[in-house]
This record gives sequence, C-alpha cells and structure tokens, in this order.
Amino acid sequence: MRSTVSTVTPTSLPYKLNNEDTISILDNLPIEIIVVIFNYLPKSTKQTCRQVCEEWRQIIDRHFVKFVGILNDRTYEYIRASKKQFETIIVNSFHRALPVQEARSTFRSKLALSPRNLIFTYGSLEDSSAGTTSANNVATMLKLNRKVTSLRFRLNALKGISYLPIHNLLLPNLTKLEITVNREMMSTLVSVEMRNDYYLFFPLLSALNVSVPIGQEHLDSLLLDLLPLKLKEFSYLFKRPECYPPYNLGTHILSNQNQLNKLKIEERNDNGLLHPIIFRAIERNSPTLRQLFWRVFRFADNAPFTEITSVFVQTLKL
Amino acid sequence: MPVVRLQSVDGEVFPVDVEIARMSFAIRNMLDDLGVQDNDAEEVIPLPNVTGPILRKVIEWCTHHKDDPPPPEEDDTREKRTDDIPAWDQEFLRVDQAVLFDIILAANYLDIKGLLDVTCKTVANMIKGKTPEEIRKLFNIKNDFTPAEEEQIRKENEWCEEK
Repeated sequence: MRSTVSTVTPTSLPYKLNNEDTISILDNLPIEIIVVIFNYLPKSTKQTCRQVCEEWRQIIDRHFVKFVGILNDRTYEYIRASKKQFETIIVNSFHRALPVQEARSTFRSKLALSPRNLIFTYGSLEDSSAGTTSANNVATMLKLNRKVTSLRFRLNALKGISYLPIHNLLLPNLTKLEITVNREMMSTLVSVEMRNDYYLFFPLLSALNVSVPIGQEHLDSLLLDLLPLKLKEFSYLFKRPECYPPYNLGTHILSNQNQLNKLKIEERNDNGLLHPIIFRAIERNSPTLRQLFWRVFRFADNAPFTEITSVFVQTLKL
Repeated sequence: MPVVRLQSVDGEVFPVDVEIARMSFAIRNMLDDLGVQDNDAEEVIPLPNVTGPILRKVIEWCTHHKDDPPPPEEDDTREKRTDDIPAWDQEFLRVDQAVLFDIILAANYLDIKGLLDVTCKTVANMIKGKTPEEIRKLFNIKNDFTPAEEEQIRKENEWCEEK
C-alpha cells in the first residue's frame, strides 16, 4: 500500500520577522543536529561550510577537522596571522630570518603555535628549489614550541645544518622522537660540530626511532640524555660493522630497556643470526614486548650502502 | 492491535498502534515508565514539543516504515552516504523547508533514529555542491565575516584535515 503524502504548512514557530532582519531557519536547531548533518558531508563541503558563517566555522573546527600547517617562507605570514590550534606543524624549507624578538619573547611570539606534532622535512617534490630549514629557524621553532609531544626530523631534514643554536632546552611533554637521515648527508653529519653545552632533555620520551648510518658519534651527544629513559618503542638502524657492537649509542640505549612494547632493529648482518646483545634485549623485554621487527641488510664486500644485495624482513607478533 | 493516544501541543489526539508508537524511543520509555499495559487504550501521552500537523507527518513516516529492520550499528569509519534515501522518503520529505526542520526537531525529540537520519541526509544533500553564498541564501544565514576574515578562512581550508 502506498500512503499518500500529506501537505503541511509550518505552524510551530515564526521563522521570518517583519523587516529585512530575518533569522535563519537553522537558529532553532540544536548544535548536535547540525553536527549530525555536517557528518554526512564530504571534506570539501565541510570546507565550504566553514566559510558560511562564524557559528558554522566553529562547529566544523571543533568537531570535524584538525589543522596541519605547512610552515615555509611562502606561508609564514598566514600561519603567523592564524588563530588556529594546529594539530601538526610541518616545517619545510623555512629560511626567512625571523625578527629577533621572535626568538626572545617566547610566550608572545606568533610562531608559538603549540602543535602536538612538530615535523621538519626536506624540501618537497613540488618545489625543486626547496631545501632544509635553516638551523636558526629549527632552533627557534623548537624553543617556541617546547610542549610538543611528537618531534620528527624526516629524511634529510637536518641536511646542511652544522649546529643548532640551542642551550639546555627542555621538551617536557615529548613522547616520540624520530630522526631519519640517509647516505646523502653522511659527510654533513661527520662535520657536525656539536657544542659542549648542547643539550636536549625529554624526560617523558617513550618512543625513539633513529636511523643514522654513520657519524652517530655526533648524534650521541645529542641523545646522551636518553640513556636513563625507559622506552616503550625503540627502533634503530645499525649500519656499519665497526659501530656495532660492542658499543654504540643504539646498543647502549637498548641495553637499558626492559619495558619495550615494540622493537625495530635494522642492521647490517651477513650471517642472519641475532646478535647476542639484541637477543638478550628481546629476552629481557619479553614480558612487555608485543612487536619485533628485524630487518637485515646484506652487502657485497666493501660495497657502498646503496648496493644492497638482499634484504631480509621479519616481523614477529609476539 | 493495541493503541495509544498521542496528544500534540495544540491538543490534537492521534490514536496510534503501540508497535508504531514504540518506534520512538522517547515514547517507548514513557510507556515503560508509566507501566502502560498493551490493553490500556485510554492512556493519553502528551507531546508538548510537537504540533499536530508535524505529528501527523511523523506518524505517517513511522507507519510506512514499521516493518523496516532495525538500523545497523554505527560504523564511523565508513563514508557516510546520502544517496541511499528511499524514493518514498524523498517524496515524503518534499515539503516546505520549515516543515522539514520541524520534522527534524520532532524526530530528535521523539528519538526516532531512522527519521532523524533520513531528514539530516536530506539537508546534507541540499548543502552539497553549493557555494557559501548559495548556502547562506538557502537557509537565510547572515554572512558575519569581514573580507579579511573570509580570506583567512579560505587560506585555513588548505590546512584542514578530517579528524
């Protein structure tokens, strides 16, 4: 049976006032219903809705979007002018010299954006002239945004940086640190001159992912304060046989761990056996360890790193 | 079939099959709280937030959908579709905008999930594909941004990612 559709005229509320000062029909809807409606919209339409009026902008910003800002020389003014709470700031080829007070009066700076995630990257593909962010700006962004919980230096993000002008910087909330470099910047890293007074502190760090093929003696000074930390997640790239073992930063940090959930080992290894240090670490962490990732690179004799002859990947769910 | 009597804010009384009335979780709870028995046909349930014409529409929708299977559990990861409104519902909701919004409010108050979903989808479809200015015109919304704010918000859209 098909019901007929009745016609109705609205009787409940006066939607129009007398003069041109009309009120919107949506003013009667509770916000939770507007949220349900917006929930049916694709991202592009949500962006359109942000532009309709202040109330809609607030609803969308609160319930549906997070902000990922890409900071570079071109976007600098917009990022500074924004009142947005950024979830993530990606710093990418940012060279513009910042005004002096930008670095000094930290709490008033408009680049104190308090993102949860701060990521430094090497220039993107679309901009071939882009390179790494200047050392001064890396340092400034770190100083102004000390409350980050996750800090990542993506591939080559530290390229060409000889030292960071930072003294005794405390990152009290940092739980995840990731540093990735590759062969291209080996020579740069070897020439890095770390100052003696160069310290970073991150007492809450629980996840550390480091990939440094060589020259890590320089990074060692940067990461020295990590030694007493009890990590939940650790990944490290052991590349050169002479760095591994008996002693390097990776093995040192690893030998201090007994609460790891996730361990990722990448190493040069020609016999396919776990090194005793790693084996013991797995045993020691076995009560909490849930994921073990072990990746082995095999080289032809004396071949450079790029000429990997075989890669063995193993992921164990424990 | 046992019947309950629903009374709108303007005093109109609608006798409705209990099974149909119970599609509203609000009425279901009231019936359960009142301990109303199936044969207690004289009970009148006042609905102070719904007018007679709107209540008639709501009952019409519930009657048509009384044999629908219960709606599936929400799966938030799935893309929300709006192109799956049944033809009967599309025809049923071809009403004055103010009526549509009154039905939404009634569905919300009476807690009728299926009706709330289909009406909100209908509004979402009205919004899709329009410019901000067209949306303002559609719903009679005042643009309260300055040109500088509009520019900044457009710029911010580049940074938006879905939560």
